[in-house]
Amino acid sequence: MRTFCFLSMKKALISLFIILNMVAVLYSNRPAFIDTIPNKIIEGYFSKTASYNTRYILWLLAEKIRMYAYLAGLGNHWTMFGFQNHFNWWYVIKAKYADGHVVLLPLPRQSKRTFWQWLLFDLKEAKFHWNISSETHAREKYAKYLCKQFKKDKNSQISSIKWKVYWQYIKEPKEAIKTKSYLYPKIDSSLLHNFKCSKTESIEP
Amino acid sequence: MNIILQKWNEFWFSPFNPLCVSVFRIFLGVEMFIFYIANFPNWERFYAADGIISLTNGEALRMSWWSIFSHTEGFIPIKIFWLVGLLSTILFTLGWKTRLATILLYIIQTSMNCRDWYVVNGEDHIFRMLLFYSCFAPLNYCLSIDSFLKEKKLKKLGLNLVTELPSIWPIRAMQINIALIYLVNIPNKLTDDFAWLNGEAIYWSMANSFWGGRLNPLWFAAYDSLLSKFASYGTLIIEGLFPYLVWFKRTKMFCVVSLALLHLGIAFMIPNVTFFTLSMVCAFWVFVPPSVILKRWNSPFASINRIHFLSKARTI
Repeated sequence: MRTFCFLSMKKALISLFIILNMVAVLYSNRPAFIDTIPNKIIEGYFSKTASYNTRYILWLLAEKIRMYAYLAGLGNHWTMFGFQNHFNWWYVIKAKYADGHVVLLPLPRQSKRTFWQWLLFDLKEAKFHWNISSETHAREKYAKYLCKQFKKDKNSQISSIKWKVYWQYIKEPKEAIKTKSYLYPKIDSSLLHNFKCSKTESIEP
Repeated sequence: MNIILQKWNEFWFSPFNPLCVSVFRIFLGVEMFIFYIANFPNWERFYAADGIISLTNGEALRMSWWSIFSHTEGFIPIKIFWLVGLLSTILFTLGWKTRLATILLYIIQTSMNCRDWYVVNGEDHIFRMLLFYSCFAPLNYCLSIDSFLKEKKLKKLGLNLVTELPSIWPIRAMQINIALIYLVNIPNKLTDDFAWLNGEAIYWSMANSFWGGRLNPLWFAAYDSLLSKFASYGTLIIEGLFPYLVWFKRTKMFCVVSLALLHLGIAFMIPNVTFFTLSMVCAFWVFVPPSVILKRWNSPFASINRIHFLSKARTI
């Protein structure tokens, strides 16, 4: 009897754990419109104070689930090529040194790569560029990191990092077939950052 | 109520033959071994205190607290974690100290993801999810040094190996999570980009230099985007049917094989997502019934494995 109770208790705990994990995955991947539903229901049925309190409790609960999902590794929102850009884009990052000469930095995705770098070692570079593309502060901090990494060239101290983005539009399929090329020839560019390297970043530690 | 509890019990707690889970362990271990090798040249750049981790602030900085790398700065060199990770993938693949290796790999993967989320890729999420469930799964039950040593030890003591089959719940949780990825992915695809509806999605994917497509995009644009439509709608159908049909005996293998072939095709065509897409292929092993392997099992293999277990498994 005692063993039976223990087994049932164990199964009950595992069941709760399973439910928690499934809720975490579903919550992380909920469609955007679902967020508005509880608010509408609460506002329709509760008084102002009760509605505020209920919303606060729900928010707190959602935060806990979000945190759990993140820590357990279940919190990713899966889209898998959900949206495709209709243009190609890439960064060009150059360093300007105190004597005025400019160098294209030997970084992944903008310098010659070996076969193994191309096949294996650069596995995270595309995603890294993608992830910093929407965050100005991250790009600025990366520029600061580059100031430290490439502090000297030809005995000259680094003075700034010039960061440009280039883009080239992709043709619609029908036009691509008509013209036998899928890219428009025009390449646009824009200066994202002209980051001044401070002396502390370019001096040897 | 009793029927619901009974069904719940059957679904989550019935014993199962973990042969395919062990095959899953070997495939995942090999892929993670290559993943660690691939990460070696950039390990310090991505995760060391003076690397690009200096990018983090706000939310990302708060999350880096959950990384073991943040708490060992200054007294454990960051490369040690790479070495521990690499050794753990070897132990994991061989099935030696499997539970310990799984937990170590999960801790290091979590640390990587929390330390520098600017370099988190699809495979990092998949590895972490699979390792999380693997911490509870009977990955070393067969095709492992652990099971071999256990059997040897019992033989020495003059005891017979009593094969009690483990409970299926960690594998079920893994299966449901994988199925959910495809379940939520289809509405996201259809609402995020019209190209999935008009069949041009694969053309745009191929033309996008960001993912490094290997095939000529013009092939996908020719004849009113015929190839693109075939590939785009094919992807939607295969991914869309998977979470529903993978649960039925008759359709299970069709779903698993077609989705695995789709992912292998993506791995070949789009090199920048190779690790991610191959990690999905590894994960599909948890859906494969053991009978599929046992049918093709040759006696030379059986002799180096647990004959007792396999013969028992055949009867299940």
